[in-house]
Formats: sequence, structure tokens, C-alpha cells
Amino acid sequence: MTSTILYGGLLIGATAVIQSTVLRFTEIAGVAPDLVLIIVVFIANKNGTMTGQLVGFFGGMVLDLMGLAPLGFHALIYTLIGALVGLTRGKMFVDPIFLPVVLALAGQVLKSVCALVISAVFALESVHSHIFSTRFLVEIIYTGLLGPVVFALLGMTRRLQPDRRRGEII
Amino acid sequence: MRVRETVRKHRDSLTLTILVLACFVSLTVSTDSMRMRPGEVGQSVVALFQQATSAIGRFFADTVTSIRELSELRRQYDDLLTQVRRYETIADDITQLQAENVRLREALGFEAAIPHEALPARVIAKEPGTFFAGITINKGRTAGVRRDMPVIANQDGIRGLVGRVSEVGLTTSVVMPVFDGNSFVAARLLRSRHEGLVSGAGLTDGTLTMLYVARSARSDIAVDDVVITSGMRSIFPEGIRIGTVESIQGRSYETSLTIGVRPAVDFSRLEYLFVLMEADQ
Repeated sequence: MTSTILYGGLLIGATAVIQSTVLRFTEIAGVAPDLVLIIVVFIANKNGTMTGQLVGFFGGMVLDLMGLAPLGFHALIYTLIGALVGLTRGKMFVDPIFLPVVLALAGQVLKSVCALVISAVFALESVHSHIFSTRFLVEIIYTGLLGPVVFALLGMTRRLQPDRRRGEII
Repeated sequence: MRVRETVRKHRDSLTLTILVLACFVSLTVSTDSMRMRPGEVGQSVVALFQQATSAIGRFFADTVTSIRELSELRRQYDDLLTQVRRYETIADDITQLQAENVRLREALGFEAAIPHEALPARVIAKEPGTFFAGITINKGRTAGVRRDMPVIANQDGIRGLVGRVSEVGLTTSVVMPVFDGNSFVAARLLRSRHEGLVSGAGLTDGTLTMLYVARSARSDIAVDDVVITSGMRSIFPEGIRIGTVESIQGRSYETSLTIGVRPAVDFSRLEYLFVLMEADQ
């Protein structure tokens, strides 16, 4: 579990850094997919709640350190997403296309709800207006469509999945 | 023993509670107006990776495009020669206009423009998350950048307002763009001289809103009128172009107008910015 959290955290950090600097061409009409969210969802679905929430926490912290978001904003959102998606571990057969889309979309919906609550509690007006915009709708669809691609790529790495030798598989 | 068993049984929930509490504490501290925020410390560390990745990406991009740039440079050189000859003529006109401008300013009683040093900075990253729109630049505390310094950009010959420095690391800073929901700028309509407050509408569509313009000014304002910073009790110096009027709304029960403003700067193609160093004093 520790190595999964470590590699997951590193992967999320690298993804966030690359996406914020050299991968701006992934934007469609100024909207970028949330690759970090898909990674958190993948790890949580494969490894369960504990790993999911810890990876979500550290991944979110990395995002918070990179921009204007108050420290803890993304950390809280991705911790809750990791914890909730982790509950699905072993409860469903993850096919290559349909379920990755569903999980990515579910992650986006959870993100919206969490962001809405946090923005209300901490008076973050810009977050509130963004959630009810067409840009955010485009982001949800874009992230959902990218779900199967990212799941397929991450599925090739054993380090982000439970270690069968140590009996971490359910 | 019982405590240990309970902890083991509810390990997931306990960890989640601790993480959520940590986030709440951090959010409470970060959203407050404390001088030294925890995010600033971490930002300096993460910024090292952002700078390195940006530099590597730029190196490869520059190498690939260098051959194409040679022929482009030749063409630009010829164009520039033509332009220089044209500007030599214009320079004479400008000298005369400047003298006339000084005379007119004196006649109208305007204050002289605030002198400020502009520190050039390169955009190295944009916000990786989706809810905020921070722009990371490659100049930080060591270059003399401080919080709340105004940031401008030159695009298509126009000096437009980008925003203000929101967070400062050692070698990088994060700029809050003027369209951010937490951005407020004291503004003035260039032609009619009416004043108001320009605020951002968030990431929604990148447009701005000018508020508190007197309702009686409706007949003096037209679409495409230029909006500039007024410099009134503001961190922004006077005369920086914010944008142009896009729409004018005035409900009968309101005492002021709501003006939609199209930003002067195209935020999607920002490469170099200028931090106004002395304007915060």
C-alpha cells in the first residue's frame, strides 16, 4: 500500500506539473481534462478507500501548491473522492470502456458537489460561478471520455495496483 | 486492547477524518489574510519542478522550430527595416504630440503619470486545477516581486492590465488575473471620465463587470468605450487599459449601471508579462 501511495503521489505530481506547463495543447476551447482526478479514481478503485484517500490527499496538496487555490481546497476534494470511489473496490467488473467513463464522470460529479460545499463554506465566489458554467460541462464530458484511455495506460503499471504476492487483492 | 481493536476496525474512517480535518485547518488558515501563508512555502518547492519542466519543454520546442525561424527572421528583418523608416517619421510627430499632451494635462489639472519600473517575466505555468486561474511567472521574491504588485502585458501594441501578484515564492510568483472572482479594480471610462469598480466574473467566460457607475451617465457611455484604471485608492496606477465596453445594463430600480467589459488582454496567449515594481508604494 505504501509503495502504491508513493508512486501514485509521484505520478499525480508529475502529471500536474506537466499539464500546467507543456501539455497545454490538451485544452479544447480553453478547457483541460482533469487527469489528476482520473488517476485518483483509478487508484482508489483498484486499491480501496485507505489508499484512495491518501493518494487523493497528497495529489490534492500538490495542486494546491501550484496556483491560487487555498491550501487544502483540492486536497479535501480529492481525499473525499478517493475515499468514496475506494468503496467500489472489488464490487464491480471494470471493463475497458464503459466503467472507466462512468467512474470518471462520477468523480467529476463528486468534485462539483465537494467544490460547491467548500466554496459556500469558505466564500470562494469564483469556484461557485465556474461550476454553473458551460466550460465546466465541457470539462466533465472531456474528462469522462478520457477515462478509458487513462485507465488503459495506468492498467499497464503494476505499482498502482494491489500486490498479489502480499495478498492485498481481495 | 479494546482501543487498539477499535482503531484497527475503523482505520479507514479515522484516517479520512484526520485528513479532512487537516484540509479544513489548512483552508481556514489559507483563506484568512495572514501574511505568511503555508502555501507560499510549498509553492517555492513545487515551482522548481514547474520551472524545470517548462525549461525542458521550451528547449525541445525551440530546437524543432529553429530552422523555420531562420527564414522567418529574414522576412521579419526586411519588415522591420521598412518599419524603422516609417517610425523615424512618426517619432518626430510624437515629440510634438508629447509637448502638446503636457500642455493639455496642465490645462486640465491632471496629475503626472506614476513612474514605475516594469520587471519583465515569462509565463511558465498555468493553474493545473480547474476552479482557479492562477498564472505562474518566473520572477519571485529574489527579483523584488511582492504581493499585490500590478501586472500588465503588451499585446498588439496595447498595454493592458493582467492582474496582480497574489502569491510570491523565492523564484516564482502566481498572478491573479483581473477576471478572477476576487479581483477588484478602481476604473474609469476614458472618454466620459465616469468612475466605477471593475470586478471579475470568474472563469466562466473571461469577461469583466464594471459596477457602481452612476445611472445618470447612461447617455455618455457607448459600446467600445475604453475602460482604464483610475488609480483612486487602488494598488493599480492610473491609465492602464482594462478593456472596452461590451454591454450596458441599467435596471429601473437600480441607482447604478452594470457595464460588461471585454478585457484588453487575450489571456489565452500570454507569454511575457511586466510586473510594475514601484506601483505598490
